[in-house]
Amino acid sequence: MLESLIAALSPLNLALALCGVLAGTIIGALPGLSATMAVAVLVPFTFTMDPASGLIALGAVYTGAIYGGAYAAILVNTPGTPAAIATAMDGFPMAKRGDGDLAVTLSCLASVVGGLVGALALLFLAPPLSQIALAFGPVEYFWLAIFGLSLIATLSAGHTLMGLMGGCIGLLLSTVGSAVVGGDVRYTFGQTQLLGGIPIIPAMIGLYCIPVLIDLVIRPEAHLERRSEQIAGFRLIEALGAVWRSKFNLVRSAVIGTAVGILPAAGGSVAGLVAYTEAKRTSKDSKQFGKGATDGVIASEAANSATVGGGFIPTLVLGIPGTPPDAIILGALLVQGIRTGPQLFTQQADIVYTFVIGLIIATILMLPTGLVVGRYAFRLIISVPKTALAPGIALLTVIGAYAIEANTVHVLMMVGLGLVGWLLARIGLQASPIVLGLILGPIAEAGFVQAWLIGGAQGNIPAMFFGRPISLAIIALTLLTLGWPFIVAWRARRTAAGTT
Amino acid sequence: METLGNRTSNLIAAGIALALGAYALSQTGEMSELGAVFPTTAAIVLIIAALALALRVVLRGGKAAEQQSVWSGLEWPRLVGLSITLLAWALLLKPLGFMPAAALGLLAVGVITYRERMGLKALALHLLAGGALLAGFYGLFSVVLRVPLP
Repeated sequence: MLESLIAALSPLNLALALCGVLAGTIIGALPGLSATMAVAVLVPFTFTMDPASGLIALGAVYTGAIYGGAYAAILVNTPGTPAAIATAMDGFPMAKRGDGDLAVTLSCLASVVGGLVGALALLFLAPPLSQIALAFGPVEYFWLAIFGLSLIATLSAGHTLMGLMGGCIGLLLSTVGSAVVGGDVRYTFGQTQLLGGIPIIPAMIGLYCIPVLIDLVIRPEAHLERRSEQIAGFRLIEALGAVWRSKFNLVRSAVIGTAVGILPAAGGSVAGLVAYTEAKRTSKDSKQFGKGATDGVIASEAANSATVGGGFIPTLVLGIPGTPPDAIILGALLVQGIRTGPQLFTQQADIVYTFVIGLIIATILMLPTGLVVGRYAFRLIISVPKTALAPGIALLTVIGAYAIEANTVHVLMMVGLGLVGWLLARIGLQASPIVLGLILGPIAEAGFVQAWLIGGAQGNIPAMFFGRPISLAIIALTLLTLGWPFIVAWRARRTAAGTT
Repeated sequence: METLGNRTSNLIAAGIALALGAYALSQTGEMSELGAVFPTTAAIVLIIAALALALRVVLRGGKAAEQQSVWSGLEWPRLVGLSITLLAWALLLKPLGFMPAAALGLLAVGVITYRERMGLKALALHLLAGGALLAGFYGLFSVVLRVPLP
């Protein structure tokens, strides 16, 4: 652990943490450019770094981007990232009444505390969880992947059929190329470039970034609304007082964020909304929520930042991404030759602990970065014209897709998938379920086929799939997840009926 | 009740999913039994979901007052121009090399995005910024990160 601490405090890693937080904050501050996109466009920078440094950089970018989303949410009522949706609910009313500076400082403090809780959970919960994960066989991984896929129901609340279709499209895309078990060549149209399958990072850059680029170019309106609110100062003492008064809300929201982050694919937006709802439900002054309640900003920001550390737990322990940016980081780890899973904490403990400590340092660095630099970054970005922003994003996507394997075909695939992704998004098929299917498909297929073969050899295939305690627990969680949107809808109807 | 805009989008989505599922299913005959299990399952679920969506749209009917279509307000020439630019950028990377292809790509995307009248000073500033961005990225990837750029 001491060696990891020393490694994390090396000048290079400290510089990467600082630059990562800074870059993430700037990208996250732009509405439409999510934390996922921030990580996606910056991931190629890490390929030549050593794994721990690369992970620190990506973790810092992710942390910064989640926080950066609060700027646009507070100042122009446009969540910079989906994770900041709940922040806008009270942050913008605060800005409208002239407390935008206070809201920004509050969001920074809450993000730092939330991020630290998530990172500490990663430090202390991931190792014991990895021991449990050692008991996982192919069938458990199969069910875990199915559990991850079931979260499409959460991602696509209100559009479950669309989400299911997107997930299936992703699963089918994941089967392109040689089969993970058996070596069947599938859906390659005779193209040798497709034998290796659809590359994950270019696919994600295409599916997430190209639609943003297209919307930026084809819409006449400005990419950011200009408003007159000016940030007057830090109001740090006032913000610290508000945070102290809201300490239970802060800790509870951070714990909610960590827990939601651990659930595969449920990201900052879900965490922020759940924590916000809980803060409103338990507040003595719940009527102030939506009108500029400081507790609302604190709850949302603490929760969405806590998902960063929480999301890394399943990513590193099980190889199942906790949030969409984790999916990209998982892809980057695979490119680096790191196989995530329970053994990671024993065989490559130095890398993991250096990263976790680096993430804690990055989260702490977010305080000065967020307070001093981030606020000016937003003002700078709002003034960048589209004619400069769009070519810059285009360059980042092209170089990002190319740099992974120095392969021009990947750029073509990225562009093609991006254009298709934009079209699909227009008709309601969003990128996240497709990406989830693409990532989890190979895990589910390998687990399924291996479990089927083992079960067949043992002469009892049903017992292999449905007779193991961990599998049954995961199946129960999957059913709960699938039923959750219906439970939430039922509770909402009941609450609505009660209030009328 | 669904709006006509949603209805059309949902029907298009269902049609695409149905076609994709049918194609994927038709190809599984050439695969081994184990290799076909997963694509077959995904294709069947896709087809069922598409049919369920189409059925839901048909049964629910459409609202007379059409909601603004997701296709309205788009500037199609820019969309086509951007798509062609990005595809051409990807295709020209190898034959032209990174720098020329990227320079052309940046210029084209800038021109396609261009709307407001720009003075000479602003134009020079844009070109300068584009050049600096390109040189910066080239230096970073090629020299610092040692990525073999074409």
